[in-house]
Amino acid sequence: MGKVWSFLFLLVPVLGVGLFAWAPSNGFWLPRDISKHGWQIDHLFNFILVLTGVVFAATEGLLFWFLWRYDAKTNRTPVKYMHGSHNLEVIWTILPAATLLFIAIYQMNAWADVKMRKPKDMPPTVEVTARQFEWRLRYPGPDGKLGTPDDIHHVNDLHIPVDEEVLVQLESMDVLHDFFLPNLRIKQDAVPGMSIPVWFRATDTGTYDLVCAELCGWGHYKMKGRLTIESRASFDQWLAKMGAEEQATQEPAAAESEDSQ
Amino acid sequence: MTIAARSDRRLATCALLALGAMAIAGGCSTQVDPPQFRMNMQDILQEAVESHSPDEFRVVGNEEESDKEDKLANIAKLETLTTLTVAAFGEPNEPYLLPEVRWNAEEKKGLDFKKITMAAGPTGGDDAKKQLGLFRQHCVHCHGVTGDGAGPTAAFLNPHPRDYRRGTFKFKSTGFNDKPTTADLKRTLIDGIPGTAMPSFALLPADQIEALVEYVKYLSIRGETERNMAGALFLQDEEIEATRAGILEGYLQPIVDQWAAAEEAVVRPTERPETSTPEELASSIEEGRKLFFNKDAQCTKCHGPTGLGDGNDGMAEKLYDVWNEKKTADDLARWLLPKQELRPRNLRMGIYRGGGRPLDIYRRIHAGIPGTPMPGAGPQPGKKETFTPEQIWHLVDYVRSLPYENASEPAEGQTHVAAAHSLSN
Repeated sequence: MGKVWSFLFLLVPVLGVGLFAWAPSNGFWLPRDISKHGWQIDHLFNFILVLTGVVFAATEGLLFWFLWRYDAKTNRTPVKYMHGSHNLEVIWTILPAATLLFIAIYQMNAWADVKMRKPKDMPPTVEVTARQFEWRLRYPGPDGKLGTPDDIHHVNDLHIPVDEEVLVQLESMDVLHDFFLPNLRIKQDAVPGMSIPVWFRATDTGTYDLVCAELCGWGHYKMKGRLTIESRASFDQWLAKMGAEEQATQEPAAAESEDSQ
Repeated sequence: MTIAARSDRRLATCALLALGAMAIAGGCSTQVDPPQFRMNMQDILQEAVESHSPDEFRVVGNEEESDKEDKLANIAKLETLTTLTVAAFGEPNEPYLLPEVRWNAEEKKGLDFKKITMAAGPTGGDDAKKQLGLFRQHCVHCHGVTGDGAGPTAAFLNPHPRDYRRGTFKFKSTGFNDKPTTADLKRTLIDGIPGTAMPSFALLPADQIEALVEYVKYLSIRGETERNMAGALFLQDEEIEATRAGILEGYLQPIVDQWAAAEEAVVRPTERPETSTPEELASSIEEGRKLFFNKDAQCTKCHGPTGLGDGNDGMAEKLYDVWNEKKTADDLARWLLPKQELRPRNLRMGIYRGGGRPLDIYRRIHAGIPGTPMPGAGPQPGKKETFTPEQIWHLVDYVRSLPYENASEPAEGQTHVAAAHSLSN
């Protein structure tokens, strides 16, 4: 094989680890976390990344060492075949199994927070209905209930209040979609025929992405919405404005000349 | 290594090199023909030259001498039509507008050519990174290069995407026979059309939305002009004066004027009767319910006594819109899209294609939905009104209450007709 080849193989772990060391400080890393529970997700991500990183580097290092040490040009000792090592096999079965079991237990609390401990006695803040290729939104009107005549309908432009528990009722009109809020570390499939609760608490205001993360058809790439996180006061104000627009019986004066959001 | 194996390897290397060279050469020299606007005349041709498809009658073969003359005449007409429309509107990659129909701020009419060039042409950006070719980026796969509603994805959709070329638009704030306003088209783009495949483009920058709206108007005006000229040539057997003035005065200007007039034709309803208390609202809904079953209104004929849109179910005569009604079983091949039946709206879904505001539903009932059998009930030029504005408001309240009322347990006071119908279902 030649020693040059061994070095080429060594490049894989060196470049691989180097890329990950370089990326965070150059803008290629997780989007800014603005959720209350997000640190748990990020922590698990980092933990698993380091764990697999160490295994990756060790495996690649071993591969390099074998290539180097047993290069045919310098190593003239004939190959000896062996049946296998019982001890080694026990070790490399039990070690990964124990690691996986540990991760399975270690992540349970994060999973429960995001998927199981639904906030109690809370009406949905908004109903999000995914559809090829847009997000249809329905907010409860002044009566606080969904499915009544004062519901407020909107599309693609999701507003939520900051520093408050938000409960999204997620549905799909046609096929599988996925409600993905990268900054809130929320990713949940929308399944036709199911109404799935999604909850989170945002910790900062601003506008962020809402994207579809499940290939849902040819227009999947354009199924993009905008998430606006704002103070309770301005959220209420926005909602009241949308509600008033929806009950309009006359053309609003401003809308006729210039209304394009 | 055997000689055979070595030559095999050499062969493989050669083949690889050749493939690579072909790929490079192909990548550099392939020239795709620029897209063309598609002829807009299926239905006109169908009446004019019964059995010929557009492609068929371009070929002159071994038919009878007299037929041959007809064919040659038709080919000449087709050429005139193409020349004139290209002269007046240009090509998809290079749109053109006669100066007379460009935006005139004083008269407030015409099309903004700058916006049109922003939306037309191939997708991409200019040097200043301004997004160009918007129509092909966002709309073309459904509405087609020509705006004929027959893009590659159109056949899979129900309803088919809008064919702009008739100049008929369903959801607008103006009267039945008027064009939509710019604000109407903008609203359609921003809100999308729920219940159809038209998505919302709410997050596009305002200037891009405006460019797209202007381009839709351009395609519509182009299509309608071409259609009217085709009608004159083939149906009325008229000559078209092939001058700028001939096209402008005879065909183009009247259509542009209609678009300008639409801005002044917005339906502004009278003040809605007071419905602020639940009692007032309930009585308005009750009034509306009576009107819904009114014989003159014929709402139930299509929408059904329960408003489920099933009034026409099981009837021999199906409903079609103007884009589909002329298609017949034996000539479907000449149409770009299959024939599609029209479903009256299910009023209990709470999904309103033209918008769910009371104002939108008022306008739907007042002006009807052009291109479909939904008539306008309000006063309109040349037509007696079915309902007064106040009655329309009651109907609006009734229609808006339907999604929240259980169809199988009608509220008290519902007519026995509806009750009976819901029982028999």
